[in-house]
Amino acid sequence: MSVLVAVRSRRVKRMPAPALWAAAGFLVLLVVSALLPGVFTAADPLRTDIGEALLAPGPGHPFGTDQTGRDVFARVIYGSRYSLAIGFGATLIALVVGLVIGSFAGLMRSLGDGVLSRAIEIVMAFPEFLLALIVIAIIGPGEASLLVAVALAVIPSYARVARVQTLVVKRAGYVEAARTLGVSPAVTVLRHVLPNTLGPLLVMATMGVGTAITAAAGLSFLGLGPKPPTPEWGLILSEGRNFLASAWWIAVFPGLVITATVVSTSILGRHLQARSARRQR
Amino acid sequence: MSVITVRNLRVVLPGSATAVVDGVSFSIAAGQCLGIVGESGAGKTVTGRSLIGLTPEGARVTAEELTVAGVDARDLTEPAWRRLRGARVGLVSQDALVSLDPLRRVGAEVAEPLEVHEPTLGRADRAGRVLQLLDQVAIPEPAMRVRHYPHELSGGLRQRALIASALAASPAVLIADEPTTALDVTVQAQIVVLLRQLKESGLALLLISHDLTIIRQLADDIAVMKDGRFVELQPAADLFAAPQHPYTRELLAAASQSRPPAPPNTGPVVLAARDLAKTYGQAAAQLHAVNGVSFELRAGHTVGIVGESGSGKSTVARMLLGTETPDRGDVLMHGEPWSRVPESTRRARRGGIQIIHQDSLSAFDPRATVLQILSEAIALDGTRLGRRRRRERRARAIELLELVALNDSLLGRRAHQLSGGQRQRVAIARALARQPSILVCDEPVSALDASIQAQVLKLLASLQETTGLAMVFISHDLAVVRALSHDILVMKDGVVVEQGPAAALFLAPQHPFTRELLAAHATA
Amino acid sequence: MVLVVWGAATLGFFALRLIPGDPVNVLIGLGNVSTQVRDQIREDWGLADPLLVQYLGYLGRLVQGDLGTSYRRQQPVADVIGQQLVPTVQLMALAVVFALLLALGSALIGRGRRTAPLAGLLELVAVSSPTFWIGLVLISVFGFGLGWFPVVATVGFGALLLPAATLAIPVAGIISQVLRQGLDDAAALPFVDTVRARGASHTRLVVRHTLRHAAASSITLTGYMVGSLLGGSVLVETVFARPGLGRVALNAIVDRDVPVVLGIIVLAAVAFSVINLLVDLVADRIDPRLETKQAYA
Repeated sequence: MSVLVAVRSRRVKRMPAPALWAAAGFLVLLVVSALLPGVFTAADPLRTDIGEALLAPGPGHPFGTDQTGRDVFARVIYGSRYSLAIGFGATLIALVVGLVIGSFAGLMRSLGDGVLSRAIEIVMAFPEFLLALIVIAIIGPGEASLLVAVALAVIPSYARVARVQTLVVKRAGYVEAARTLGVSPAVTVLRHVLPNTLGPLLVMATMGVGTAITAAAGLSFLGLGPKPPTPEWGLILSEGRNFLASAWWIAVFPGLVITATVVSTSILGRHLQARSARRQR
Repeated sequence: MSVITVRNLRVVLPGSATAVVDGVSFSIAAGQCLGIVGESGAGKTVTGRSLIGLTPEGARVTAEELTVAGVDARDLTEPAWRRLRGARVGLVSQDALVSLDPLRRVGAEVAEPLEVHEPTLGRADRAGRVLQLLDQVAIPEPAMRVRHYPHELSGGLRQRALIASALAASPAVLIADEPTTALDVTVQAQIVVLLRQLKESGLALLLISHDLTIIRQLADDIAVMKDGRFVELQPAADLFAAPQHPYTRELLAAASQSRPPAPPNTGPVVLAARDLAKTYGQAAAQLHAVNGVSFELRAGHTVGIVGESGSGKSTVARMLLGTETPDRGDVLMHGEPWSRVPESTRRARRGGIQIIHQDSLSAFDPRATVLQILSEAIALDGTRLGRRRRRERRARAIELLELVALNDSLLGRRAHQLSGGQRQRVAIARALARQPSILVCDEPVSALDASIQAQVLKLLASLQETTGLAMVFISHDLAVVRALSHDILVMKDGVVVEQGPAAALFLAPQHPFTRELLAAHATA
Repeated sequence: MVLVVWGAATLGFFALRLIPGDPVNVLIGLGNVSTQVRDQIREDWGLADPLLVQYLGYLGRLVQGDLGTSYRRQQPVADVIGQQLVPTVQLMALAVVFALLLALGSALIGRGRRTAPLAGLLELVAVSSPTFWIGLVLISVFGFGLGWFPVVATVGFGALLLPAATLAIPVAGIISQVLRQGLDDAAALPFVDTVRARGASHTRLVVRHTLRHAAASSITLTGYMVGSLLGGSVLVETVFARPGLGRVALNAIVDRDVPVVLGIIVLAAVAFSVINLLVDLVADRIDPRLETKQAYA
């Protein structure tokens, strides 16, 4: 939902260029690590070695090792594929479904819009995280469930923004201008309404990838995602929780990576937002 | 004795090499008014703001002399400025709706200078002073008004309250920056009267406006400002009688455009409105937006509609365009029904009637370039629909731009990258792409500076001459309507109060409201 | 308000029917029982009735304040929730206080030319950090590292501080962002010139004028904030092994204890509605323009 808040604000400051490059660079590294984890680490994220258990970060193990001697760095690198898949997948689903529902509601008159927007309103009454939990309750835990749960939980937000944006665009001067020029309604919707609705949603989705990754990690932290020993970020954190007193690194590093990911998507999203705001002015 | 003396004032904004105010000198005596007139960006506002220490952050202000109410105001520290502001110099700016804090009551806003400058004043005394002040600016029932929020007052009362708050701590100088710009003409006149009374009671007044009409009614001396300099500074009477600088003459000319010679009344009637009426809202709260508007428009002619905001002008425009269906009455285009035909039928004929809005920025898709904007309209041109090639469309777009005196370097720009005048010209080009026989112009130049206004009006007039276009010209500004119209409708509260040939209407206005409008305007 | 609660209850009721498997399994736990016993249980719990009858029955009891009986704990849902409500409300209340203080502090300090980028970065990190991770970091720094706070205790004010701070940090980040944006937006409004032209100091400008505008834009966040606290409490209570509603919700979901899940859904809907009602009232008081707008609409 932080996404929504950010989208709402009117005057957007430009992001400083170094921050932008750092964010983009980090995300590129992340994508590479998801596709080709071998580039970053030679270690096997699943290989246990009791002799090497709970080693502090050092030359051989940049992020240390966990209670069974697995390399935390390797686990974080290999974990990026789960998080990114869920983050991008859930956001894409939410974006598409939200856009369809929202612009449908926005374009329809009275009744259809009334029913749909009421339904959105009711679902929005729930914290997204609780919604995701309820979805998991219905479809059961697991990796695929995470994706579906996170997507379903954020669809109402996207649908709402899409609806409001459609309503705004529908009344915009350039839509009326198209009408007075004699452009047909169908062409107007395709050429003017949809593209201008999509803009803010793409900004929202960019930031939403980070939110989705956090939500998914939270669910799997609670044990509702993939089963151990999968190297998933939330799961690593939850295992690290038991060793906080002696081995802080197990929990701290994956969390840092999650935070950095979310920070990066936010920076990118705000950059896009500032750019489109300048264009509107 | 001068209350304000300024010698060789220069202001340089941060990050800019040129001075926005460049060597300006003037003085104002008690009970006198200096008017500064100029277009936006001329440096008027910055000049005014430098007398109260409110230039933009980081601006460099230098002067050989800068005396404000007896204080040398060069290099004052912020706390020293604060002692001066409100107590010695007051500021009144445009539109009190945004210039008063919208979240605080009028009473609290008027009382603030007292709280700041006379902290020893008791609560009850302060309340008494606030009532006195509201009374002084002729706000009726001050005891009730102090409890209101700015948005609950009418535009005129709000502006009076803003003036009262500027006067609260009894300054010797008042800087009035476009004090009447957001108001309707008749309300403007009342505020001018109030400002004149204040001036006569001994206040030194610096009046800043783009509107020569307002300046003329108040100023003893007038400075004409352009690009940071005073191109001319003269006693008001001399300036109007014998303007020295060409720019001054240009401004004076723009303010008093004469109507074009009326072409013979023989052209075919292209558009006819018959007894148009439209109401909004339900039963009890029903609002007659428009009631009983009729007129005929002939090819090559212009019908002007003038009226204040809320008089129903724009509703008429929408009904003429067929984007709004009248509750009663009918619009005929080329003698055929227009208002009540199905939208699909209308769409095929929409090319015949086009519109230019005041706010053309919002009338363009923010994602589209000028080429795309024009191409969309060109592609709709019925006869060769769909067969036009990309290259032909581009050629046609350039042709249209030339028609409105722009060149093809703008094709790749987006709407927000154009100046106001360019944008309006592109809007006209897009309308012309459909080769209409009727052009509806709804406040087409209201957002533009006077000299740009004149250029756009000239363009419209010459287009009409060369193409025989019929126009409906809608504005709140009598001067602008006068410049183009052959017949004029005066609207008030949704009703036409007077209607007739422009010449007759200006010579012998029948309705009191028309006379009021003319009076507010006539001083120019 | 009634609409939202009814809608939530209805959507929840039917959505939870989609759970595969037989609720009787939840009722009896792991024990193995005969078909007759199963049917008897089904009969007793009203699970044999047609869906619509079950639904109407549920609504009827809901109107009387009866949330049903937990499958797992065999006690009224209202009791299950009621017992755990206090620790969660304590946690959330303290978190709200923390969040507001942090946000106000950072918004007021973080407006200088030098401090603004720093505040922006801190906000971004605060907003972006997963709640559970913040909890873990706080535990390892203040609990194990510095030993200032108890790590395992669940009673007493000291035990409340770290969880509340954990819950507060992301929320504080967002409020601070919106507050700073609100202050900046308000500072760009034309009336600021008028106020300064009266000789008012910067402090006066912020305290008497712009802060109020910023508050008006932030107040609408309240609903979001409470939602986020509610969702976050599930994680925070797990991280700190505290009792509370979040744990009840999590366990009910894992156990598929439908009446309890439904009870929490209804509770969340009621909380949402009440809070939105309050927010509307407060917003009207802060910004009088809203009231008139609604009156005309």
